[in-house]
Amino acid sequence: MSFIAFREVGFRYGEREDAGNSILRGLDLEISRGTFYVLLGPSGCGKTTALNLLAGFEAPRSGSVLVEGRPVQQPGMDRVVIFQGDDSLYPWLTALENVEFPLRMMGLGAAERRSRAEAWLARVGLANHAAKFPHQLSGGMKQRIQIARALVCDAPVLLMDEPFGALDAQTRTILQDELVDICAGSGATVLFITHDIAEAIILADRIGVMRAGPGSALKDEFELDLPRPRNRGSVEFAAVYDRIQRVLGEEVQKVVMREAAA
Amino acid sequence: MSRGAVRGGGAVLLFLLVWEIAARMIFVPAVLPAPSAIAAEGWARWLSGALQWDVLMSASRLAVGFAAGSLLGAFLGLLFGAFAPVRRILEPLVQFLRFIPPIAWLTPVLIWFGIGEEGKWVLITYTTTFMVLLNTLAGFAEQHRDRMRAARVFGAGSWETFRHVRLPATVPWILGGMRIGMGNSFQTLIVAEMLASNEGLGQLILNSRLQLSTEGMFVGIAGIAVLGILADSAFRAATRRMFQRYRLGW
Repeated sequence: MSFIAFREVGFRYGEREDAGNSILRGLDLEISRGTFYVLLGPSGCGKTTALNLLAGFEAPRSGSVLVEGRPVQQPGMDRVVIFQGDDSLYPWLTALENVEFPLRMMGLGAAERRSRAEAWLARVGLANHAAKFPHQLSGGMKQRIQIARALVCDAPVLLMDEPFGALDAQTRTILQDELVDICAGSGATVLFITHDIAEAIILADRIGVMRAGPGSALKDEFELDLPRPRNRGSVEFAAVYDRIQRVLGEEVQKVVMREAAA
Repeated sequence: MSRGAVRGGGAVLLFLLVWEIAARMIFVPAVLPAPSAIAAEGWARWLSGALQWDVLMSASRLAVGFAAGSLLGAFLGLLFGAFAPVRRILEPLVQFLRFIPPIAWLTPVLIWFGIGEEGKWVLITYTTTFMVLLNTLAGFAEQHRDRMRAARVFGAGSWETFRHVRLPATVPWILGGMRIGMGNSFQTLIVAEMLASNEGLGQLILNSRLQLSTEGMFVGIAGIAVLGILADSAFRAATRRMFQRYRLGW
């Protein structure tokens, strides 16, 4: 039994199925415990939907999404989410208070909340910004708060929906490397969504490539055994990039063709 | 003083200067008195104590109504926001009442409460309540998908989501409603004082007309402006300090 499993998962918006509204059809996906799994796909292919199903934000129309054999019913602190934008941070709370939020919901006392949250803020390099509000911080710093807020929960599963998508290239590279360090020590199982092949190769133990929508499912999977830290300039990196690019490129091409035809 | 304040003050002074010249050269005082004449009239009323009394009456009515209306409006708004069934039941009533200007209630209020202070308190409370309630509801209607999702992920139940996510997000809307409510309360107050009062700035304006004292009218009008500026500045300064983390837009 795999730790996380999508079995024949179908999802669409609206009651009746028609040509365009099917997002996922027959998605099968398994993630074993402790794996950093990256889901790659062209835009609109339903990779965020897959993450939302595992998070419990949406329910599948058909099939099932299982964690340790049990269907996902609702969101929970065993599967914490790092959201794409920074809208999920509470603007009236300081960086520290945002990280304390899950601990407050757990009912922990003020002193323990504070020390655990401070430790994680320090870990993501924001020790000196604890008293600042999100709007006083850069985009990269806000995503660091999100990382700290998710990891402070000690959750077995981390769900990340293109968390670095809105950041500039330099910041993104730095945060990718930091995320590798942080996750290496946590033992958590990660589902990470992106459309950036290089990002996937830096982070992943395993990469799944999805088909172009509508009615998307998994097209191919790649096991990555490159040693870490991975060098973006290495020959091995380029070779893996090339293999994935060929598989993903076809799907991106389909999207481009369809958009041109429409 | 900031450059903006200097410029703003300069504009007011220039306006008064043009008015002064125009009043002296073109108009007779009974139509448009000069600012200097208005100031002299105001000073005379101040020395007699009559002006302070009118200001005190108007200000106290506003303060009572504003405080009661803010509390009631925020309470109802939060109740509607926290309990969807309450909102569904009572919102049609709110929509029914919202187009009735508060002053339309003046006559029934006079019958129910008489010409004393209570009637004015009721009308200003009503005015403020409505603005605070409607603004609070607008705040609750604002969708923040990821914030709500994060709350669920991180273990917040429905009460905790209300207390820690939806309520704080609505604080600026409640305070904004109070500010608008205060502005509207001035309108309600002045009309109520003109039609049903023996004291207050509204009565000063109306009485001055009866006594053919145009200067007195303008003293009343200027008094309202000054009272309004003071009340709004005090409200902004106090809320900015108390609700610093909510980044109010003032």
